[in-house]
Amino acid sequence: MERLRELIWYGVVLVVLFGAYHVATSYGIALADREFGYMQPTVEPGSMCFIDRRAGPGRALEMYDVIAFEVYQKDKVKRFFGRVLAMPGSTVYVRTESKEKKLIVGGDEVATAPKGLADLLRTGLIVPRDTVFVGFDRSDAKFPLSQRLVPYRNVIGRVMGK
Amino acid sequence: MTTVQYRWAVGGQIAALCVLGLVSLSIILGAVPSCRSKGHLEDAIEHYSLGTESELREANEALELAQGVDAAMPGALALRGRIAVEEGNLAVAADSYETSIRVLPPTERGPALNGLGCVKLLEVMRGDQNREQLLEEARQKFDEAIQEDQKRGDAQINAAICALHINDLEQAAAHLRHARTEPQVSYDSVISYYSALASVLWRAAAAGPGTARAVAETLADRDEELADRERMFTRAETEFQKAASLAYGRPVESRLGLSTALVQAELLAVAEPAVSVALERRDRRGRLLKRKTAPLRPGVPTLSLEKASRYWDAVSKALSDHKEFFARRPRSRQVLCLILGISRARFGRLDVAAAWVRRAIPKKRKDQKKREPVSPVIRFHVGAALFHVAHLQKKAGKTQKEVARQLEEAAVHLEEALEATRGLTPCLRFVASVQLAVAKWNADDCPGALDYMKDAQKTLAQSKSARRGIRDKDKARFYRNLGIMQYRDRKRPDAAEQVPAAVENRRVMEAVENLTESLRLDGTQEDLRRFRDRIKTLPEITDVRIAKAEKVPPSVPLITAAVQNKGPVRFGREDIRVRIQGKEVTFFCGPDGRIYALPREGDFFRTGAQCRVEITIAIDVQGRGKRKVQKTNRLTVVY
Repeated sequence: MERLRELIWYGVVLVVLFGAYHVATSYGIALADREFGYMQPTVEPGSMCFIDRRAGPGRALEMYDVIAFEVYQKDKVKRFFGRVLAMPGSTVYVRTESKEKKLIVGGDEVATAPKGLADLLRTGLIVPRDTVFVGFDRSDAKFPLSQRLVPYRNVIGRVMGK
Repeated sequence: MTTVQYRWAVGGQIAALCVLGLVSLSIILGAVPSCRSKGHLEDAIEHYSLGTESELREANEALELAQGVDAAMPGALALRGRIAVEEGNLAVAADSYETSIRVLPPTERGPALNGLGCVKLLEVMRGDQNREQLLEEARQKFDEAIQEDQKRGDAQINAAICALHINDLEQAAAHLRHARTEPQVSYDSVISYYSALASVLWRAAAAGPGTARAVAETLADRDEELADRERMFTRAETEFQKAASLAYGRPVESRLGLSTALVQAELLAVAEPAVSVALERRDRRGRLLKRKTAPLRPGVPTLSLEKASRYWDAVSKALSDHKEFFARRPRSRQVLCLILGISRARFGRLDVAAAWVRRAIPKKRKDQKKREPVSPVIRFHVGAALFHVAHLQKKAGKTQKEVARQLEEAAVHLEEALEATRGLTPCLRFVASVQLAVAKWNADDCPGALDYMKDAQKTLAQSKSARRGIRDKDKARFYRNLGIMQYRDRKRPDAAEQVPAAVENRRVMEAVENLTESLRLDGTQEDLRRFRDRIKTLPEITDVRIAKAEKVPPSVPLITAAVQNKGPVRFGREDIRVRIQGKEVTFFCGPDGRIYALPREGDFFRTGAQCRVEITIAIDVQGRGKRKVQKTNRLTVVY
């Protein structure tokens, strides 16, 4: 009986160890920048988010997932949060409906057109392979077109909660 | 040791063993060559994706380590080729891709074939002498890549770029259409796609309505109005902007920005100012709710003043931002300055327009060894643009002095352009001669003006056999100016002519013929039509009466009339007919353009008789293409 208990104990230790390894490699914490408010109220500026790293490089993401991603700006790496609005291979374009500019992907309206990019997207934009098109919850977000196309390798992970 | 302590100690040992196991596993895997080379390759990809120069160096080092273990590793070869292309080391790139093609199975050769095609294209762009052969080889490689890997659109996009190099716009459009339907393309290829699409649209719109329509049909774009040239130019601009936006922070961004400015310049060159047209939609108070711009001529692109101003600023900025580029291509800079000037003139910004036109031919700076070369064609266009601006200034009410100064400057450039024996086409030479003649005319140099007109006439005669003749519009302008000059110059003394009246008559007739020719070529010149119609082209028959001749037997009545040449119709005695009661009688010519007819007794009259007769005098010059002039009077003759 004592021997069995010991074996169970060792088993628990092994499970905990593998579990810890798995959690350490699959999940993480990402801090939102204090000045980054484009994803309010989903991600508040300066808040801490739990992320699923498995949704990162090489792993499938789904439409409308909120993701943390990295952008290289002048030899600096900055972290942002955004919402996946188009998947690789799809075409994003802007359509004007009763004075409102809508972002259309695969024939469906997915969001309000991003500010300042409506003219460029009116004629459509092909999303490259291994890349997702991200948008923000605030429609007045000013973010360059090139940085809205996020390669999988720059995705840190999917936001699971705050 | 208690049981709990013992358990913790054993648990710790297990954890330590696990860690050691992991470490040893990584060491063992690292010792396996294939695993080690994969690790180096992953490092290389990681460094390469960061994109900076230092990271690229590290990527190269990692790649060398990877290839040191396995020289024929397909991934490493592909990355080596890609880095070599970016660094401009085309021999290394070609070697990497060729090795890839050799080692890979046929189904996986697509990207390597595409890469090899890109290397060939880059060799063409470098200015290699075997341009045709290289383009053909590149096309073959892209075709093979398309056949072997149909899911990816990268090879389609590169094939479109290849087709653009051989100026086959429809083929390029067809490849782009396929690329759009198979959108599994890399990020770089997406940039290339929008850049190629913009180039196709730009060239098709510039080529003319027929090509624009054909390309729009081949592209089968969502935009149904793409065949419209104005829409096509605007779309080309948007696609270049999109490509530049996607290439943000990359070396190619600057080139794409420049291409955007060049499309805008082309649109400025061909577009006419838009005319505002009121739509029917009004509010309750009858106020206009919306305005719409409509083209003056269908098929000709138009620009609103607001858009044109934006383009002027963008093109000026491109000129100042890309000084190095334009220093290598002075002709491009000159053409852009000309476009900025001419376009501003079209919108009535005359002073700024003249300044921009002058900037096309810069003065030599102190730091320059020699002056920027200016071709006769550019000099001609500068002269023609200044001439046009002067013409518009005259219409806008500028002082005679200012207009004359402008014309003088235009004449200098046109003369220099004409001095070049080669370089100007007969059409440009013809227009330059006509404009110079007008400039000389305005400077009161009538013989000089007519000499240039003679030169123009000579060029016109020579160009009749040429494949591309002179445009009717230019011919109409030539005949118009020549006619006006001949008419205004009809009283100029000419020693060679014996009879000044006859000379004047001939000149007026020639002038009218030229004005008529101008109106035949361009019937919209209403002012010229009115001017021509005011010139009297018919002889006048006046003062028909009975006269008494004293030298002939007494009481013999003579019928006399004044026949005057008021216009350019030349006529002689043989053209005049005098009839009395329908019967032709003889007449003789007297001084002051008078004619005298002497009816013989017995023909119509008896001595002492008084009768009323019908006298008809006709001048028939129909043989010279003019109308017959006839005057009939009834007179009472006492014999």
